[in-house]
Amino acid sequence: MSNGGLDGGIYEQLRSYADTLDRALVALRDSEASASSRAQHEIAALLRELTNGETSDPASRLVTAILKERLPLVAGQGLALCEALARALEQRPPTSAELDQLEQVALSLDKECSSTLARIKGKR
Amino acid sequence: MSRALPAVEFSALRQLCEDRIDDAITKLEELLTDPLLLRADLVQERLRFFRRIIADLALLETTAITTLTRPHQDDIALSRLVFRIHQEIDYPLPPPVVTCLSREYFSINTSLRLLEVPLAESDFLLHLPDLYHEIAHPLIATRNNPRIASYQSEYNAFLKTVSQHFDSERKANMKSTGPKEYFDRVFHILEYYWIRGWANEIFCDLFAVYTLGPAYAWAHFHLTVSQEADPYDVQIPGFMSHPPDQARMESMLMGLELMGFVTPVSEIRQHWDAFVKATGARPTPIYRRACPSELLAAAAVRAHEGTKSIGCRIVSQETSSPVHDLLNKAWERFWSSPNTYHDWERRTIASLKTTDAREKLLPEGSELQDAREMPAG
Repeated sequence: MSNGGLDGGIYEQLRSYADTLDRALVALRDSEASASSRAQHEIAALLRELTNGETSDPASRLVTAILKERLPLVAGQGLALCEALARALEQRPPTSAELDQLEQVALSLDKECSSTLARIKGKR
Repeated sequence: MSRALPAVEFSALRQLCEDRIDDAITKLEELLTDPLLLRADLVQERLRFFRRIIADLALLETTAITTLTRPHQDDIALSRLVFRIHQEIDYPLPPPVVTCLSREYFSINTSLRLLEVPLAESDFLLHLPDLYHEIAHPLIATRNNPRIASYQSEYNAFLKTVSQHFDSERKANMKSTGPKEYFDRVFHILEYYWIRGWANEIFCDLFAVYTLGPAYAWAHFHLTVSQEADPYDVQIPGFMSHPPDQARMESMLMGLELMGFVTPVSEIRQHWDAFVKATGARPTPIYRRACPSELLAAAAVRAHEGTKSIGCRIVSQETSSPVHDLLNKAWERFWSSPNTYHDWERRTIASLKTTDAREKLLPEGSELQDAREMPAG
């Protein structure tokens, strides 16, 4: 009944989303047009998944709840930011300002990964 | 990792460690050589990848590799006990390996399938019901496994119920005359607590209740009595990974009632109420807002459906199998014969650590020995 079991599962799920988003952010800057276009739509789909209240995936619901609570601390906005970014990326490549916002979403996930890991190790 | 395996139970863990280390090396090489990743404008991503790989390796080193390089006989004994539980309840995932190196209480690393138990716990029976709680965590954390999809579907449906409940509370709050902003924030925090951890913990409690029975609720009672926390405490502002102990007990009793354990429910409730009264703790208004009975009841029903749907054995008053009997009867004996309990427990644990999977779990001459054998195979 300590935090290990709970936080271990949360860490794995956050880590999976954090890695997927970071990989897509890398591919988004690929000079090959097809790779960056694929990444653009992958990120849009991931953000849509995280803002879908009807999702059938409990892992996605968990990450959504965490982002809803934590994203405003990093980006100043909550899930509305993810929705706006998903809408934009479904239509066109991101602007430089949108790339910065995507970085903030990625940073927010990464920070939560780190703090969950610290909790597993008993540091907080 | 060139050492010989301490026991066959550790072979899957060792293979997992070797695969994880190989994967980490491949990813680190990629960070050093992939021209795209080496671009200056991708330094943030590169740093995040690097830190996560190093963190994973550090976690692996302090958990699984420590287990493999410093094995103890108690690790093997408890790993075998968990294997028996896995067989008895038809647990649908591979059984975890147990290490007695936990610095806290019972916990499980779901991705390594490594269950950590404090060293001394292998010498006692009364907290071992927590093994059932811990093996429920992978049922929620494991992804893309069709064997447990129906369990996760029930869990997801419960999370949706939680969100709908707090949405309704927020809407009602907007029409109220109280401090709207404050309560709006409170309901957001409560929803966050539930979805981040409370629902998970309550589902794991209920899995333990459904597959083991009253012994798990007694173990929770014992653990709560030995801690100083207020069972009704809801920390706002703050952070609570686990639900209040009162809510956990309420949901366990609902689960036991669902299965028809009328007398045990009455006995546990009587002891619990006496304990809560003795602490002087009282339900606060925020407690009932945080843990409404209808949410706890919904969890009991959803977890019951989920556990049934993956083919796990649900206990009844007629259930009989070695580990189930041992852990439930340990609690019965603890209450009925407290003066002789410790001698009996010592003999039983000694016997448990020396038996193999087909032997009896209770020592010869024990009045609780029902001469029930492990099923062959």
